[in-house]
Amino acid sequence: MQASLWIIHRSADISWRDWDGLGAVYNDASGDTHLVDALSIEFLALLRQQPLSVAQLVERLSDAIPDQMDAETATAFFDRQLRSLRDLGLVEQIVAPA
Amino acid sequence: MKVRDLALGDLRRRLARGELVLKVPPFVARLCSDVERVVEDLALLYSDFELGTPEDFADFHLEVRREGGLRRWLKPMARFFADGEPAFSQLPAEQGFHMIEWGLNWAVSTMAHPYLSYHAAALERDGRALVMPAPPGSGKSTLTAALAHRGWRLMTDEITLYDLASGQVSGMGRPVNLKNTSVELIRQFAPQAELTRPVPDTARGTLALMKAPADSVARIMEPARPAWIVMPRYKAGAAPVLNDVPKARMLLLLAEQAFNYDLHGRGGFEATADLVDRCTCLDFEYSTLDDAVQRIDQLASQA
Repeated sequence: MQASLWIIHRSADISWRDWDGLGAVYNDASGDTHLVDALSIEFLALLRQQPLSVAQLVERLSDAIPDQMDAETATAFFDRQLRSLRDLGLVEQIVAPA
Repeated sequence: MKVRDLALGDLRRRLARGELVLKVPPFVARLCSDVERVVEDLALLYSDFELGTPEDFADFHLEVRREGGLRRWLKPMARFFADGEPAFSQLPAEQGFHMIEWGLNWAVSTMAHPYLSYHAAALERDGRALVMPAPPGSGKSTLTAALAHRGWRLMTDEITLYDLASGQVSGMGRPVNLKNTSVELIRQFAPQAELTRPVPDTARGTLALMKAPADSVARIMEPARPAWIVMPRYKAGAAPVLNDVPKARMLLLLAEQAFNYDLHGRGGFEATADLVDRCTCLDFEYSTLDDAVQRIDQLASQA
């Protein structure tokens, strides 16, 4: 099975501001403003630079993952977060190039 | 010339002819009405406002006209028109000036696009503005009326105008809308407050309008730097408590309470983000006006 990558949604045009663990994301394509947590802001900042898989996001954000959380749990947690952002139309999944 | 400089008969004639041009900076409204209650309430509430000449350009043309028919002898009704088009359902003529106020709110909120306009009260002290966005029923207007009579300059009860270029807020110094028990509460709290005769039994209960204090109207052109955004919430028996609200959450609340956030697109988001960024964001639970005013005064003296 081919790995998938997450990217900023191609139809979205987003800006955000964050303060103390919470952020607001504005999507100029839809006109919607969303309240998101700090981890989501980290995802958006990294995905704006390049497409990444969940595993790569876990690796990049390892400092933010609690010590007692193993990689499998972190991956599942990140995946849920990304799907929430996908439901808001902010990110989408693509198939990684072979 | 100010409204108070016109004799009541002249005011009535100008209103009847649609020649009453009222300056509510930064806007100018042309008012037209044959409803006596409009004459009476305008003379009280806007006595300190400047008048334009009948030839002046007006941003909004607002009219409240008596309805015809036999019913007018039993219960006079009136209808509101904006720029000649009917708006709202007809209402008892006693609510004539409330229709003018609602119409002015509607006109400003739908046409004042050089500004970001929020459904929020704003008051000023020492050059800093307290902005209070809140849904109906929160006690915002009651608290605003109370603060306006305890050393705070009333900028607005309903629509806060945020200047995108300067980052300052302003209001129009217009009357405060009071409902039901708030009317008597403010009478007792500030006996010097000037209120219209209450209109009972409306769909919203008993209504009255409180005139903005004269010193607030005199400084109507002065904007202020926003310093606090406070969401008030009346709760019976509650001690006055201020709690931090995350700035991102306040940004979303302001976006929901803005009339033209969507029209400004990304600029609206960035401006609202700048606004919350530079303000202390709080919610405020209170039950008595004395305690509430004292707590807000403490907040202002801390910074």
